[in-house]
Amino acid sequence: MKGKVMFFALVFVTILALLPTAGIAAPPPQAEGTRYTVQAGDTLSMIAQKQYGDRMLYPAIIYYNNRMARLDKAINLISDAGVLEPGWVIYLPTAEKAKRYAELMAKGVTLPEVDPLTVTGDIISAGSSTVFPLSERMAVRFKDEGYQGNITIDSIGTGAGFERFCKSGETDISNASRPIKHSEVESCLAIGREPVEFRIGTDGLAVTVSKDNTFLKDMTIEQLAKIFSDEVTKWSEVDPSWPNEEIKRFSPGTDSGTFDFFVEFVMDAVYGKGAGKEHILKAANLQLSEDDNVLVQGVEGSPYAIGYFGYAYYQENTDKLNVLSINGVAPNDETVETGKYPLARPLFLYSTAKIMAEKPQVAAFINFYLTYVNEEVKSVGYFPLEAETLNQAKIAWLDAMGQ
Amino acid sequence: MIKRSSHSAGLEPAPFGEDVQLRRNLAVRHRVGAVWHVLFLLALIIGIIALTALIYNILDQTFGLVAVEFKVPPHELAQDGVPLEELSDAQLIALLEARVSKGVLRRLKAEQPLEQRDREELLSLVYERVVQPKIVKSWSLTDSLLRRRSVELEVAQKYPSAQLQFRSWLNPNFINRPQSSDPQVAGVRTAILGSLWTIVITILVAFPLGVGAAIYLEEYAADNALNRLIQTNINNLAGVPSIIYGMLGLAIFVRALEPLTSGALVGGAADPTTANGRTILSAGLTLALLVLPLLIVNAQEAIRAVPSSLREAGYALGATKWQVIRDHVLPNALPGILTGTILSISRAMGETAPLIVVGASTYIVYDPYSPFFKFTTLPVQIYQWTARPQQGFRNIAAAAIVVLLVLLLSLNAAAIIMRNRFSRRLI
Amino acid sequence: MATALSAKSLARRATTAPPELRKKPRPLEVLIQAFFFACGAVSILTTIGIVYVLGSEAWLFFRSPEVDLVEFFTTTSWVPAVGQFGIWSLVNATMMTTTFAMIVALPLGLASAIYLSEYASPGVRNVLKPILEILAGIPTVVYGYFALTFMTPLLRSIFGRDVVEIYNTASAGLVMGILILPLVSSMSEDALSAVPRSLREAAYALGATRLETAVRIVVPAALSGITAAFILAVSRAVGETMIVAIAAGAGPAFTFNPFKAAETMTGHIVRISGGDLSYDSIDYDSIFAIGLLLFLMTLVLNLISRAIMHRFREVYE
Repeated sequence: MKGKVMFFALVFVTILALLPTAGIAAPPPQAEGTRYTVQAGDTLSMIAQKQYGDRMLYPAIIYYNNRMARLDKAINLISDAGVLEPGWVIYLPTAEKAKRYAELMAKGVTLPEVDPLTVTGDIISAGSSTVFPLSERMAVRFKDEGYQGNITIDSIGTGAGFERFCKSGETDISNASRPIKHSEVESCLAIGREPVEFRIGTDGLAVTVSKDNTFLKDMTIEQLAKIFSDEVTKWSEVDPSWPNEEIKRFSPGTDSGTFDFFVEFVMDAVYGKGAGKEHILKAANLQLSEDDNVLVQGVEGSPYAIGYFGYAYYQENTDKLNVLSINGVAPNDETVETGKYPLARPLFLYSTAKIMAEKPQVAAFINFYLTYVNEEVKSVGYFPLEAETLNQAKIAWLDAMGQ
Repeated sequence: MIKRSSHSAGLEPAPFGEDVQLRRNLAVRHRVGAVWHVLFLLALIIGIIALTALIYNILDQTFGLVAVEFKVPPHELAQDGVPLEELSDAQLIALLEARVSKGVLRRLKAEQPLEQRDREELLSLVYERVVQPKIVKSWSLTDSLLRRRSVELEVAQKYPSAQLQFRSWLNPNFINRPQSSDPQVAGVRTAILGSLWTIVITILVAFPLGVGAAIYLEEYAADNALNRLIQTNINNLAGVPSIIYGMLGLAIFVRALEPLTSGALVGGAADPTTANGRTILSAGLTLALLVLPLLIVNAQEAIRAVPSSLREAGYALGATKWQVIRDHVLPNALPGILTGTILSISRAMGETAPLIVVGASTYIVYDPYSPFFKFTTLPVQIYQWTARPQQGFRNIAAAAIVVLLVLLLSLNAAAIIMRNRFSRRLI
Repeated sequence: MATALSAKSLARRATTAPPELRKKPRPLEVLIQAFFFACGAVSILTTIGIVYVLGSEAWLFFRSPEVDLVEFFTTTSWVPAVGQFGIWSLVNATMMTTTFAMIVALPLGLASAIYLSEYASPGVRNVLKPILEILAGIPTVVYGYFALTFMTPLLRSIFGRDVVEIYNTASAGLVMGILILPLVSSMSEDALSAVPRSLREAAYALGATRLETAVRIVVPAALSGITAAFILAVSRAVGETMIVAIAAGAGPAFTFNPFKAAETMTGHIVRISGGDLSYDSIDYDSIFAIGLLLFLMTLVLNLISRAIMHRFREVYE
């Protein structure tokens, strides 16, 4: 009897040991620049003039502000157009940083060369299954050119990747097909990790129909949202010239970043922020799928089917599918790179300055990645970054290394 | 049932004086028996047909014609009319220096200077790095064998510069090479080693635990509440989805028991600075928990089926409980226990979801030398490759499945042979 | 005679008998018994672990303001993205795939077992039984894609393209049945083989045909093992993850039409845990609640089957 009691007591103690520790409130990230509250009538060039004495330095404000906005909820994101609202809190970098940014963007950034033969030590990476093929390609190339250590990449999904990066602190690099969320940033800061974002490529979203579909070549975002909503069930209800047949819809599942992106940039754009999700999920004849290869099969199976998924899956099936242009813009290198094609998802790597300092192999790999990614990205099925965007990622690397 | 009747129209004389009704009845019963015999056989055949369909589906993608295009066709590399294969070593080296990227050249030279490499190597390097054959399309085995003409037409139309070759995606290179992002050079070496290591640990842990628990429940357990609880518990655990075991393994083996599973405790960690619990040991233990209920139930049934007359004979001769179990019950229950082992190995080798949760890597290229290494397994690779858009990945996924089945058969073969030897009808 | 052999006298003889006949104290026996008990107790630890791991996160889920316990158990619409948490659509899909799987696995498995054990020669049995067991070893991922690429087109050619959707619970269920078939057939065959030959011979002696012996004598004698196989099969079907994740679709739906897509409980867990959702979203927490519910469901199923089994179990010598 006593033995049994001891036994269960031991079990109980083991369970107690598993109880999670309480979360500690995270301090906000340290920043060298200043915060500024936008007054009525302020424009970016005015602020740049006041702060640095040079109005042309305003792109640096957009860049550093948006980087800080990722980490700090209080800061507002500034769009590329540079529109400011009074009452916004924005972040202004130091004059030194702003000038350096302008210089580097003007002449282009070349990172210090990495000789993989001299790089040793292990790298642990995990995250998005969309970024995985690209990271795998870069890791294979890194090893091919002589990397002496071992790199492992786990394809577990962006959310799980951030959990390993921000909650358990197991990974050095986190792959993501969406920007990091504020709650995830808070978890990171709580364990002493300040995430640094590196944009490495773009995934185009292809809206496709079967090759037997004769009536669709181009579509507007409004039409697209309507087609995928619960408002209509037949093609003719959207446009009377289209056939009077039921729309067969194919979409990635609710757990997918592609789905989230589609909801944010198509459904919400037409039905209002937060309302789009309900409209698409209530649509009739909607087939959700875990596997994009199956979506391809579904769309190809009927002339009245329509689906959206990563461009790479369309690229491999051009003999069975037609891709639609959105608002007159067809997805190709140029339109996706420059952002003219509206449905393009950014792909990211996340790491921290501390990890890159403690593990030089991580810094070397990210350096290598940024230097050669545009050569490899097309064969994987994604789109290369514009020189400007890539330069911005490289500047982030230099900042993280303190160079 | 035997009805006496004087009616004996149309039947042969009864040898033993049986009743006509009996003989008619007998004929009916035999007919019914024959019908059901066929039905039982049919059920078996349906199972075999399903298996054949599955295997055929898999093999269809493993072999077939491929259209190969060259980045730089070999004939373009001929110098002064001398074809590529007959160029001198110096010319080959010059070719490599001119055409191969700086980074790769640097690595190749660091491993061994080009001048010291033999001709075979240089030729294969040129072929791999300069000519760069690329498979642009592959066809299934049925298409390659039965529709060869239309395949050739398609190639002539769409890929005029491509060569048509017959390729077996399952080749020695495939088994020997580690992963890659290019389906042409990817292999399953790391996955095979990971699977083997994991399954060995699973069986080493699950077999003694399972058989022990079964012996306890059948031989020693009194019929009290605690033992009934254990019994119900085990039956229940068999129905828990495998991914829940993954979560359990994550919480206990990867997180809570990290010093043990990462190897830090025994000083066997691969790299002490990055060691964590996501190792082969954690995976093996998680899978052991997964297959334990299956093993226990099978072992229990096998032990229960041993006639108690055997046990009683043993006791009558003065043997102790353990002696009876060891020498009489277990050997006779062995076939059933082995069935449980076979089913468990089969189950454990095919699991994907729990291992991903526990930490099977998707890309990893170094061989595991101890249970404290990170790992990947064949099902994880197969799952990953089938989700990729490029056709070549589906082919190597099929080849990996064949490798997995062969591995499984070899592991099970030992158990099957033992089972056949020990199985005999008692009394 | 009776008094000479009475228990007391025997006991007295045991302790006063010459040393070589006296009962030896055997510490090994006690140790071995303790070891076996520990093995059995591992299962309790596993259950405690599972309940704890699931329960702690499921508690977070149920405690959150968006989730209403009544809604969880009574409504049929599971769309966490818009805040609807009715579990019945997932449970219904699980039940449907399990039913289809059992329709395939139980009759075919038992029939194959009867054939192998009663009709086939030992040589044939020794070859065919392992061949069937290969079915158990094919990874479930392969079965999932088999359902999509073979079973669904087959169903579509039989029932029509418009009736059968590209994802449906029927093909996932049927393919799951094929996966589970070797489990039923191997375990049942073991149980049937273990029935003492004397029973069969007695039946033949009384004039029974082979069928009658098999069905009326051997199967009831082996019922314990066969029922164990059935219970394991049902449990396996309810808990299967990859096949349904791949072949039954990613959209939860409450429908009794087996040719429509409907996500099961396990499919949902697999999909969400591998997706891009943030780990502190409500959808992510829901997978633990579903897991816990699955655990309780299999518990209830097992208790019911044990009750049924107890009534019919026969023990021969």
